[in-house]
Amino acid sequence: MKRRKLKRGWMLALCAAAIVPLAAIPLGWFALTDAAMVGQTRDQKTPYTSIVPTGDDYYLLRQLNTRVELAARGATRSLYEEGDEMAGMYLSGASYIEDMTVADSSMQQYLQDVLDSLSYGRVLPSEWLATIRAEIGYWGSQIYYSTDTLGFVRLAAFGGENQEICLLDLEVESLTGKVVSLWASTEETHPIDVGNTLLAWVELNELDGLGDWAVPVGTDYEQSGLYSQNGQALMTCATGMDDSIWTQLGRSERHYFSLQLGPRDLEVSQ
Amino acid sequence: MTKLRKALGLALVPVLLTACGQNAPAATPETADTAETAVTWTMGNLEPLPWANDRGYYFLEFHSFDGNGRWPYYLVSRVDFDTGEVTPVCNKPGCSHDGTDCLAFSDINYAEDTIIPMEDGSVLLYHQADSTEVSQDKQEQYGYYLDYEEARVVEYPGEAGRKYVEAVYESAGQPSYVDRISADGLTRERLAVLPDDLGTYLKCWDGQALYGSLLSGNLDIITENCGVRVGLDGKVSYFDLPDPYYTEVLSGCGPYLLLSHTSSPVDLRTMYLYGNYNAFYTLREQADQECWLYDPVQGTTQKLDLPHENLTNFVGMGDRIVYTAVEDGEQWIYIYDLTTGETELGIQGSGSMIIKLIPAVGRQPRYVWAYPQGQPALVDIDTGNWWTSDELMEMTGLDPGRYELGNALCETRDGRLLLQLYDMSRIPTENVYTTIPSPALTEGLNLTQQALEEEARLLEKAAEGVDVPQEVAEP
Repeated sequence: MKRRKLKRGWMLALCAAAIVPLAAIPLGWFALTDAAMVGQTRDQKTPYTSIVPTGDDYYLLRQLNTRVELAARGATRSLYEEGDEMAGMYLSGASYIEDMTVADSSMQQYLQDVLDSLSYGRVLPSEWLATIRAEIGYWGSQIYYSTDTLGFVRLAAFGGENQEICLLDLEVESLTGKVVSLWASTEETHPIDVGNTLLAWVELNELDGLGDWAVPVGTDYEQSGLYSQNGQALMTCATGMDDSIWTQLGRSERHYFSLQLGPRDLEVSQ
Repeated sequence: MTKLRKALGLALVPVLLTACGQNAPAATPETADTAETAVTWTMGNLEPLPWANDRGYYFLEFHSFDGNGRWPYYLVSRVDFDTGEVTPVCNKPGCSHDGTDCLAFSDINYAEDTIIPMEDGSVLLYHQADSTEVSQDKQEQYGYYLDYEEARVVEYPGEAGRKYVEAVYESAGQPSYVDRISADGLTRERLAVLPDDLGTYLKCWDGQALYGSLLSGNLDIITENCGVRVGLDGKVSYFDLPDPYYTEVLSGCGPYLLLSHTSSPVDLRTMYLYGNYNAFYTLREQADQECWLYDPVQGTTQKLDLPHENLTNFVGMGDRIVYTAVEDGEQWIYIYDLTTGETELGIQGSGSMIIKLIPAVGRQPRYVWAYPQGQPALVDIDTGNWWTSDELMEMTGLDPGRYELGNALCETRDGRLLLQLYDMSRIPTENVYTTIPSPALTEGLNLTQQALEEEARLLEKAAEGVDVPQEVAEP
């Protein structure tokens, strides 16, 4: 009996002696491979790339991309054709006075606050804001608005004897409250500082995280724009003559101020 | 022992897994996109499309199924330079040239069809299909009349009506294509089929292929645009254009495609798509038209630095570009020489001037139809000389009380100019065709410097008693 116990004890000890070194095999293996690796260089097959923000990371740019894509489709075909998917229906908002809605006092206040926010944000120069307000006041213009199905709100004011002059056309993305375009036609003009205006607008639109806003050298927008390759987005600020209105004396000599943010794929000179 | 093997096996599992992990294949970069747009062809010397060969000048001739202008259709027809006679390019025995089975049949609409006569006498016809939506509507509508004879005889009575309905239905089912009609007019084969929903505009060729663009959009904006090459072997290739939303292929000049580019400080296309129309139309009118030279094989673009702004239109002619510009409120025609990089020859004009190129057989075109000093006239861009409609009419020797000049159509290889006239004594007026000696060749003063030099060379050679090859005698 005692001998059997002793035999079992020996067996257990033998098993333990066999198993314990086995458990150490991985440790030994790693130690050996690590030792073999030390001092060697190896190329990585997939190079490391840092995470770069894109336009899709920004709600505002996603909305603008979708809007331009759907509006472009609508420009060449019917809104809806048999066989189309239900998703992706886009209705643009009215642009002409006869199809727009007269703004009530709350919408008028909204416009004033949006203009103020642009001015406080150093995007709309205060003298331009004063001139725009003076024009609207001079013509006693009502404010009109319309909406599209993606949530952009257009606010507009018209002047002239037959409301033929578009004094102001401003579009706001309603969820974020960011202005995406502004057009003003005035009798007076003022100088603008394109570079600083656009930098301020990048900040106001919270798009500075794209990190690569730069003058699009070698493109049509070299004098008027800032471009983000990461976001595939272009911002422009321009002024010039608005001679589109005909009066009894010939073409009117008005001036325009334009801001626009939109998707764009540009080849910029290096 | 079995237990020991199991224990050893379990202990080795992590080692084996680690070893497998080290051999996992690395991901490869996606290359499909770049492969699709890679240019695998070469390009020769580009020239405007000819519209004529030594057999005559080709055009889409109006016909109607009832013979009285009702239910129209168009045939590819040729004007003979010697007789002025017009004949369809179909020689199929017994063909009455009044249906889709005629080899010369083009379409029931005067569409964007383009005729490219080849030097071997065969003719290429590029036909642009309606949009899918329009085609389907037509097939539905006219298919109904084909199915219900009772309804057809009310709306489209008689044999002429039936043929018209059949022709509309069959035409609507055709894709955009390039066909080749043989020189003997006995066969017609399909060379290439092009996408339907994009308009294809073929503008120039290099003897091996036709080049142009494939675009979609409306009157205000371009929504899709790319270059297209239709090889005469039937192979169709597409290539990128620079700044495609603002670029149109106008023509070809030597090794380049000639592009017009619309330039504005604001992205006008986005402005339009935002529905900001007041601003869009104001700025579009102010936009600059630029002239770009593009090499699709190398993918390089050269912006021409023309000494004028406000270009209104331009036409490529070999190694020259004819353009109009406004200067001090006046319209002027200028010629830019690509080889010297200089603009020469200003001709004062007025009014809205659309320049039309007059093709020439066997040489670079020398004439454009333009409006110098407000009068419609044939302008020789080699010398700047021009001839008004009245002067050209006088050269025909025909009664100006009966005939009126319509158009100058092309210059022949032997130095004649083909004119199209209206015979006003017929009701409705009829087109007649005649040739006059090419005006640039009839007046000694109008000879180009090159022609003068060539003439001097020939005289010199003749004086030396050297045989001069016949073909060099052409100025």
